[in-house]
Amino acid sequence: MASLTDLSDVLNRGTGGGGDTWQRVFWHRDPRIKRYGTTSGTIPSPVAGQWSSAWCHIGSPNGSGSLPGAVSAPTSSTSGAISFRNPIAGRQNWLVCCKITSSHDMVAVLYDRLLHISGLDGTNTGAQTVGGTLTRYTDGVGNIMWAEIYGPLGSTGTTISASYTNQAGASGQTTIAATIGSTGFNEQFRIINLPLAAGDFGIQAVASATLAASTLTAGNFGITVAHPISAISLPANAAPRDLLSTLPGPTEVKSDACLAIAYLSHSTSLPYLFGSLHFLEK
Amino acid sequence: MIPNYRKYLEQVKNSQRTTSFTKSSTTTQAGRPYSLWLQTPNAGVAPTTAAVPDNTTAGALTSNTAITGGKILRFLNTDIVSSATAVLFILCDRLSHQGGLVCNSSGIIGQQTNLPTTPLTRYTTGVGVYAGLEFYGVAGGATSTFIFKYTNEKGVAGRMTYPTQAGGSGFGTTNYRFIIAPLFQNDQGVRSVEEMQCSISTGDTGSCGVTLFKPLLFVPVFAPNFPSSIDAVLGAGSRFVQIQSTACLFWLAITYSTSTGTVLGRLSFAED
Repeated sequence: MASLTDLSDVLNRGTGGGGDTWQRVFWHRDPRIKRYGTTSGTIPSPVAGQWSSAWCHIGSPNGSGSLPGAVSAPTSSTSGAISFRNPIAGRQNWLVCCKITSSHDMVAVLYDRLLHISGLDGTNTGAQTVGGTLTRYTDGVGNIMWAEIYGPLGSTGTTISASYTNQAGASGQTTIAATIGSTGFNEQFRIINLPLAAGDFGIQAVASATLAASTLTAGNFGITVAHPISAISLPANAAPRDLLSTLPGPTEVKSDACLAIAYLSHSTSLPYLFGSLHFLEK
Repeated sequence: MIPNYRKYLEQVKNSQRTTSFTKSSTTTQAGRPYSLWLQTPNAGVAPTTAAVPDNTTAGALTSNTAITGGKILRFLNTDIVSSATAVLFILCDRLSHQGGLVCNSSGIIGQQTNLPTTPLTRYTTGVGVYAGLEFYGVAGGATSTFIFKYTNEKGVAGRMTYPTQAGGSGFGTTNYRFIIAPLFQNDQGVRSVEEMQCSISTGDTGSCGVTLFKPLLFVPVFAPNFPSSIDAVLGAGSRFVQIQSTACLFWLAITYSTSTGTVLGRLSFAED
């Protein structure tokens, strides 16, 4: 395992030195196509100023994500993932450039989707089991989680928290309660970020999620554990994120990573997303 | 291969191929891809029969992509300026195209006119090759959807893209609209398209065709009349995109406003 050493190393590997050591992945996601998961219909507009998931937007490569159902650890071959080629044994994939364009202003985050579950109930005020096992970033450092809404919840606002194991292996940690339900917090494909307890900076496991009160509609929501890889501000349609000449520098993307997009929309219009990822292998 | 920075500088100095281009402005719908293939000057021609365009085809950005002696041609640098508010340009290799398809009532059965597309001569495995529905005439205002039946990168025939809107505002009701078809899940590319089908008539002919293309490079232009430069190395560079011999380069554009603006630019490549 080794990181890129200098500009000559980048040039060498970017032009095929050492074998097939680079790849570019072009991807797009279109929310206006009427198919996702196990249901059908039009994907609803995002809420301005709130986070949404593009997991169920259809595009290439790899179609659309589905409602996860039982807890699972998705990979690059899971439908909906922006798939890419794993490095050969003993090497790592380094993301050196990430470019995204959107039809509307937003902040987009490229992340590795580590674990997800759906089928949780917006009226159940008991502890709803999450479970599952991480297969990447298993030390938990840098992992975050959110509640992801797959079917609209009720219009009664409440809060949600999750019980988790932090990066130090301490179980029984509880996230800071976050608003869920009610307008702006109950729409399909909304993401409700669940802030970790003070002092924590990662997640190894999630035991359960608990609503403080019923939203009065069961809907369908789940918990997603993610590892953010790169964030891009899209103030005018398109932006590149250069990871060679700007911090944080080349960023490792794990083998089998389930790459996906979450976004903070500045408008209520559905975004049509295009992007490209440039990897160097070493 | 470019083993180090010194060699890169030598290539910049000694083996650059440079081409300049300009394109007149065309009306667009914000946030949607358009093809500049038919844009003047140096406009391409709407294809009729299935064909493989190359560097000598009218409309190709440059004829100077032929390579001999086992060398590799790589992208080095581009400067682009547009009079529009903001535009994302996507440099693509146009691999196979055809015309003669329609989006009126004749199109709601499987259309095989001028299909299948001509076999790929570049990126022949199909990995990373996408299929687009390119409009050469205006479709109607009724909302329809289309699908392609295609052969994927593994050679599996009979695959179907997801139904995608065609017709209705912004989906073929202006010329040059280019709708990228989402491939079926787990597919990584296209070798050929065998059939196109609309769900209902859009109410107008909407002369269109299938274009197979390989996206090569994103070039965002952030402000009107302010040039955007991308080099091969830094500043979100191209990382030396490889250009296959006889590539037929053309632009797709996704605009922030309602036109591409007048476009002026320069591309440079080098062999190694």
